[in-house]
Amino acid sequence: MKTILNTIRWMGIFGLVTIFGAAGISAQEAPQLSALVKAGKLPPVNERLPEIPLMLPVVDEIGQYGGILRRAFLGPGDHNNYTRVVYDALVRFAPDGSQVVPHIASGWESNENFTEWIVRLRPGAKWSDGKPFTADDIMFWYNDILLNKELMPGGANWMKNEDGSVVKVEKLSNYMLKWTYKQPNTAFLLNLANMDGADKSISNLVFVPAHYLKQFHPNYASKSNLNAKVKKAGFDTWTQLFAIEALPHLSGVRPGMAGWVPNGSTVSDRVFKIKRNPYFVGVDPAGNQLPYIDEVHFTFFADKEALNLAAVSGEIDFQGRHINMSTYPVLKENESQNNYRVVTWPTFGGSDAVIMFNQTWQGPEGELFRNKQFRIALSYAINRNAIKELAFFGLGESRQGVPAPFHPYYPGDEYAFKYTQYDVNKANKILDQFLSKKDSKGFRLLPSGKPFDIEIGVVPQFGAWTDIAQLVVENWADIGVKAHVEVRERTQQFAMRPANELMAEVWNEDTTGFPFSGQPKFDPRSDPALTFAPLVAKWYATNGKQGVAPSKEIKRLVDIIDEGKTSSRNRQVKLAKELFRIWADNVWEIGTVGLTPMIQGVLVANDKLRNIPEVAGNDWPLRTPGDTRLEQYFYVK
Amino acid sequence: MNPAKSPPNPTTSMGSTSTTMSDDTFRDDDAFDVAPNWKLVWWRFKKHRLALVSGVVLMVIALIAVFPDFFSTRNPHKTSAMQSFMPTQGIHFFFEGSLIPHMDKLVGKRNSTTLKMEWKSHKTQKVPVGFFVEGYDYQILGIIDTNIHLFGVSDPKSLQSIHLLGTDRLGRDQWSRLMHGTRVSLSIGLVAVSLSIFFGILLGGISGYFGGWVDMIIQRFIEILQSLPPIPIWMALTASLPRDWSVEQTYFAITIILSMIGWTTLAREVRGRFLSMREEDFVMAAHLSGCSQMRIIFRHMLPTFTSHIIATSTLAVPVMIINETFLSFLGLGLRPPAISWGVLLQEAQNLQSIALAPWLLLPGLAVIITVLALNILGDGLRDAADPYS
Amino acid sequence: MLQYIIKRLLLLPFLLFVFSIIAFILIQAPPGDFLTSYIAELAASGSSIERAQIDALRTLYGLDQPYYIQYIKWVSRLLTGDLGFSLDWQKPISELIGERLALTLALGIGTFIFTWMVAIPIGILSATKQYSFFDYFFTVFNYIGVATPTFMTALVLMWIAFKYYGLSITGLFSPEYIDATWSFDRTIDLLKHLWLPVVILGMDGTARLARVMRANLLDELKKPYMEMARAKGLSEWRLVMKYPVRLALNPLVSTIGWYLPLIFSGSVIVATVMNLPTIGPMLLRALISQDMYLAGTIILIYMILAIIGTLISDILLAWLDPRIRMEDN
Repeated sequence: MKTILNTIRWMGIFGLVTIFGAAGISAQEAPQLSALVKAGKLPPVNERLPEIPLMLPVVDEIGQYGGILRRAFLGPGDHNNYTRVVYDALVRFAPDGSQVVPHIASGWESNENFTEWIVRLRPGAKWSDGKPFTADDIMFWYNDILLNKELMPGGANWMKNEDGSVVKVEKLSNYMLKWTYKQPNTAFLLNLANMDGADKSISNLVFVPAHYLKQFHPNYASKSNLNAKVKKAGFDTWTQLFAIEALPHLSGVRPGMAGWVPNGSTVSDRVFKIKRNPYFVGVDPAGNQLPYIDEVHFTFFADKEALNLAAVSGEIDFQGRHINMSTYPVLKENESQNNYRVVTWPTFGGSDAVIMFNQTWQGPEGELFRNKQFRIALSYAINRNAIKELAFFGLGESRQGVPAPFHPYYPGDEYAFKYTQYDVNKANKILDQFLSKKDSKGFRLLPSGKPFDIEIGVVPQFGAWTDIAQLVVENWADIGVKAHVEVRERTQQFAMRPANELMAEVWNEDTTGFPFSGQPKFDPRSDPALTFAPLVAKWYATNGKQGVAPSKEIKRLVDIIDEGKTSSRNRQVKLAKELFRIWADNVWEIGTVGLTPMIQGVLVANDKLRNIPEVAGNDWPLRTPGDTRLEQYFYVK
Repeated sequence: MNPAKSPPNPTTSMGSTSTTMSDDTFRDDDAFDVAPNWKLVWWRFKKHRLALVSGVVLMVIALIAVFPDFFSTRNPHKTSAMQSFMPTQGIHFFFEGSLIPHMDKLVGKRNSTTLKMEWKSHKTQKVPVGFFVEGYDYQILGIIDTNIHLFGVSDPKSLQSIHLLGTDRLGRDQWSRLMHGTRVSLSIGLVAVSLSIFFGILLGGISGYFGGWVDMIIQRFIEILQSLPPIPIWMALTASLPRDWSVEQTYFAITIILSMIGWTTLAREVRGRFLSMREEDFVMAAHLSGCSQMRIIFRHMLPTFTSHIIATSTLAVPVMIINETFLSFLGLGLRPPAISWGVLLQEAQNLQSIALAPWLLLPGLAVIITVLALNILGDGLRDAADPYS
Repeated sequence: MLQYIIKRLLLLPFLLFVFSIIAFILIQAPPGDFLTSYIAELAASGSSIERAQIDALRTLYGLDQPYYIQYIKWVSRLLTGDLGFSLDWQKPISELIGERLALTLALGIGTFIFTWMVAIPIGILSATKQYSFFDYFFTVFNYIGVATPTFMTALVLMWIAFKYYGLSITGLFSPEYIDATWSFDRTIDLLKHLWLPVVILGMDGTARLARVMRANLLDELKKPYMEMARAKGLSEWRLVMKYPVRLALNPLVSTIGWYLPLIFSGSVIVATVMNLPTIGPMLLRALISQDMYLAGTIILIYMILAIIGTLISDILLAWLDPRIRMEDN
């Protein structure tokens, strides 16, 4: 059904676009730009847009031009605040996160075994300074950035073949390029959708304004000129200067393709301002050039609490970032008098606090962790309602770490809610079958007669995890299972994972949308290492020489993931569903509560702001709120 | 005021004198003539009523610091998911005419729009409160097992709980946490000051007694330390404490860090006194009669300004307490699960707490009262022991 | 006198050298470096960074070199007036401090003026009207002022402002003036926001100063020359203001030097809580994110100010009281 809807939608878009092009209807533009056109300072809008503009559908209605969107950020370290807003990439994730759609690029094709990918650009597209955006800009990136040993000594993972060689990129025409991999790569689009300058790193770029950056590159600029520039900016080497100039929000001057561009301001300013890009390639369904909103202002706050206070006072127009979930009640209380509304976008599937058992733990408890019935019993013993109340204000639902219900990979309610009922009796009954011996205090003993104590490692990343772990310890005490919480610093915990030093850990399950790319949590081989089965990871890494061989079920997981990496979309959906059925059924990771607005999920939205979706995929790869297309947000007058 | 004395370092001591009092009337002149020093001090001190009151208040606080569990109503670390953000409650002593101490029973309901937990008093049911009741188990001074608490729910088997100062976001009893925080905050102040006294006397004494190049080196060292701006140094030092140190290790490190700046003023004073006292007759006499150097120092020279040390130290303790509080408040000092006033205030310093549960700021009141009492007591002691300073 | 000053000045370079080492040790003391906290920060908002990138950054920032080399590089830079580069802000440190310097000074000097303007009259009145209601009231007020941690006051006031007036009293400017160029209106806006932090910061110092003034004045008032002057028939007020007050002020004037470093460092907590754009919060952030050069430079600045402050104090003291000069010789 979904595919049919999608097809219709794409046909509709295509149709509109054709009518557009055919009738040569003149697009509309923002009044401030019209004024510039009249004054002769800017070419008319038809000449600024590419031949086939990007059509962004609107959520509610066609919007009106004008307004400044006020946001808040915590300083230059908070650069991803900007990245998420502009989401400046060749392709993007759709708002519900279920697929990739064209953005700056107009489309793509791949061959049957996914080793060759062709990316099409838009003829007539221009950078924010009016210069053309062509395949040469991407070739500049390929030849002079990616392949430059001084700028990127380690290369980039997504551009490497399995044998370590660099993936080949060639220009087929002014607006077409081809990537050639040595092995199938079904994650190509997913990677491309994240090459937007994220983490203010040049290794996350794929298209740059060559005409601007050549002056900072020794291959094109004279040595003395370049040295002078480097000195003037206060740096030591040209790579330092280049790394700044290559990114719009660090440079302030570098032309961009996003809906808003810095125009002199940078992330180091107290108020970082980005302004309408007169050459943005996007239009709304009626043909009006986007964005609707004139400018976006990021105001600096030294303190997160002050930022939250500003949100409560109505000084922020649209933001979920840095808004604590715990601020929800205060936000709701002040909604009406401060002219904003609260929107919640729950996490993108999974479970927001899970307890992962180390399947390769070498201590005596390891036998228990590997016993599926033990895990099931422990799952039944957890009072998820209490966790919901304590940590999530009663929001969200009790569930295992499987995708969200609206995602194509959803394995069904039976699996989403497996073993999530709070049933202490059932848990006790199960444990009585093989752990019937108890000590004087009522805690169960191992079959050998020795006591055991499960250590749950917690990094207080998202405040409530320590509390949840404590609650779980108390729940398990009720069925005679002794456990305790160990709070650690992030780097320390991460170091203990691959060293197989952790028994159990509380983390969140957040990779349910992307099991076949990146570092999913269902793959014991993932890096950074997981608590899941570190010795199995070692086994795979050393080709069986060291470590522990995976169990039948875990091996099935790995096989599914490997197959999925080279399968078509339809096959991937089937495989994913099987993966999650296995995952939920085996509860290697006990999910507690999910779909809460834990991570940037509580948002304030100015009452006058429209075209904000009620439901959205909320995840970092989706660059939320970027995936919801801020270019089509507008202020109603 | 003697201008020859170096100006007070604003962060380590309070440079003021107290309200004056007349010290010229003593009922019994004979007793006055033969009274030992401490009795003189005590008589002068007694006249300062405010200081006496402060002393009593501090004794209560000290009691709490030594036996926090006795005063607590619940284990301060115990969380309770369904009892977060309960407001403060008072103890009512009369119920329908008769003396039955009780507290209201609170019923919580989550507001469906704001998701705020709202607490209302139950119309009819009350929770009877008793004194010297049985409660959770604990050990006095780590040795004696008991479970008697000053006050609590009358019926030990009841599942009810009372929260004099409400609860925090995890449902932990704030009153009990305040009791336990008292122990940590007060002790850090005392230990830090003790360390300061130790180093101050040691180094100041050596410097003053031996003179010469020993004196010069120590003096330069003191100068350097005194030139360091304390707040940034403290911040930098506490920021460098590894995050994976245990509570005890961090506690120990913080007391050392805090004491590092405070000892310099004392060292200077001790040195000054020693320098001048060296030439005094009684020291010469002791030397001539064959006393060892150690004996001269400890038995003859030091006692002359013990009272001064006591007085200034009492005034230094509150400064240390405030310093620990603000370091923990910034997140640089003690951290949860340690409980100190600073930690309690740190946990209250967020929008959610300030807007929804302002009672979480009450530990600040404890800081104010304790520091106030210590300052008044210190002033009183100084006037009584050191009328010439 | 001149000899005394010269002797002190000669010690300065040596002290600075020692201080630079202390500062460097302090900022290197925390485990890890800027990049470790950078990674943690990224993770906290849901993103991650590849190992290769981290290594490249580490080389770029020179964080992989041995300590003594980093120290030498830092100091040699400082000597040429180059304050260095902030890793966190990606800006030259001189720019960062420059932006905040004016406001930090405004806050500090404002606090200083407020403290003295309020404390001295209170001290004088308390001393002249000893044991009156006024005196007792201010005694209590002073004690409480000293006992209350400044950040508590800041928090409570922010809450009151929020709850009862719906105001968010953060920052030193209204939104429209944050980035504007200096103008009369902007100055007025600054003053409108400045008074509250100044009062909060000043409470503590005011309390202490008032008590010292009171004590000093009381001592002076008891002296024989006062009896003499009264006997001669001078009116009380003129009498008090003419000599005792000035004499009581003398030792206090010598403490002015101490205020210099305090102006900078004392306001750290309040400035952080109230989100003021001064140097203090920047230091806190630099320490937490281990932005070494920024933290080191700020700490060094504080130290230099402290030395200068002490120097000024000592000079004033020596100038006012000849006995000190003799003692030192």
